Amino acid sequence: MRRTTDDLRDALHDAADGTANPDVESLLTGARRRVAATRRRQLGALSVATAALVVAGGVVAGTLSTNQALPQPAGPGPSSVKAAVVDHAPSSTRPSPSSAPPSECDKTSRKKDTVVLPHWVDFVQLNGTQFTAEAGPGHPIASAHMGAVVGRVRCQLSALKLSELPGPSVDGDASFLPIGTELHSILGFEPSCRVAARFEGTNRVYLAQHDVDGSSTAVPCAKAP
Amino acid sequence: MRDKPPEGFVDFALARGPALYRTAVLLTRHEQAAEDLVQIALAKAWQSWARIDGGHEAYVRRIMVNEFASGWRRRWRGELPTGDLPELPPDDSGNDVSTRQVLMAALATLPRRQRAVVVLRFFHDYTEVATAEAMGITVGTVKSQTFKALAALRVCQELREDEASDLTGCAREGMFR
Repeated sequence: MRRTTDDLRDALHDAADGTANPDVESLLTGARRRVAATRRRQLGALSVATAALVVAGGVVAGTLSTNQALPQPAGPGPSSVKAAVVDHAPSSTRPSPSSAPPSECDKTSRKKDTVVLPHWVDFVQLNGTQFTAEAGPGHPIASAHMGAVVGRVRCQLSALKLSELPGPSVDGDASFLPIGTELHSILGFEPSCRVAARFEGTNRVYLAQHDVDGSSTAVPCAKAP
Repeated sequence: MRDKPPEGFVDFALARGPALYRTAVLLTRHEQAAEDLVQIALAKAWQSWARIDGGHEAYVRRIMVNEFASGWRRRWRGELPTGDLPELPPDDSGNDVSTRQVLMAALATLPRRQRAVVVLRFFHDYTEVATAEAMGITVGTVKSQTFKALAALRVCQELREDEASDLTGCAREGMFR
């Protein structure tokens, strides 16, 4: 018996014709469910991407369950961050309300049941540039070396009870510097390279950062001559 | 992505769902798996519906065939493609129904890609070029996969293309008995 391609065609069409009609509604429902599942996966991936973006913006964050404490700085740098429950910056480091500009932090949502616990890097953003404190204790400078005020902190991120990851940082954001803290130029450096801020009794130096091969590093002009 | 189906999507699914399902049954040889395959293809089409420039059915079918041929749910039912095909029972009855049943049983033993090529070429009557485009493979691969599939099905391709010709070509390849 010879089998031809026509036999094959007939066999295929017979098989197809003999197939019961599907429940089209269930096909649609299944498709909708799969789209929803894909969407959930994409949102999950987006969250990861957001976290990566926030890392670039100066923090490393993760979500914890209810009533977790927020970190507050005990000193400069991420290694010195310790946990404490606070709603606002410590009064000892806060400027008086009359001198502090309105906080932009109020726009950040706060919920009581969940909180994001970020691991902050000591940074401040000014004129679109992120400045990161020198590693470790750094090299505090004398007040005589500080120049004009070039900006002020408008939001102390570490003082927030975050219920979601903050978006990319904006000008005036700082991790530990209290709201209203003045940012000064430093003599001998362009303000786009280095700034200084008085924090916990010392004049801390912040170095402008840029991305090199995906890593944040100090711009050349920020380095010591 | 949207919660609501894109415009025209539901109408398309209602109208063409059964046809897509039949193709899926030929590919998977199992109704539940066919339903899954159609759902997957529709879900993917849903997300790119606005970018489809006409030919929605061909687009969805393409998704379906490639999803299937790429090993979709390969472990499902413990199914594995194989190059070693079981011997077909002799079919000397001349009965068309029996011939078709044997062919469909043999189709189920083909590796996925060969099965997909057969369905596109001989159910949807795609040309070799159209089959190649739909599956994202070369025309040469379509030819070789078709040849292997027909050989496995003991179907002689030359019979249809040139019924009156010398059949020794088929006979040499042992493509029919």
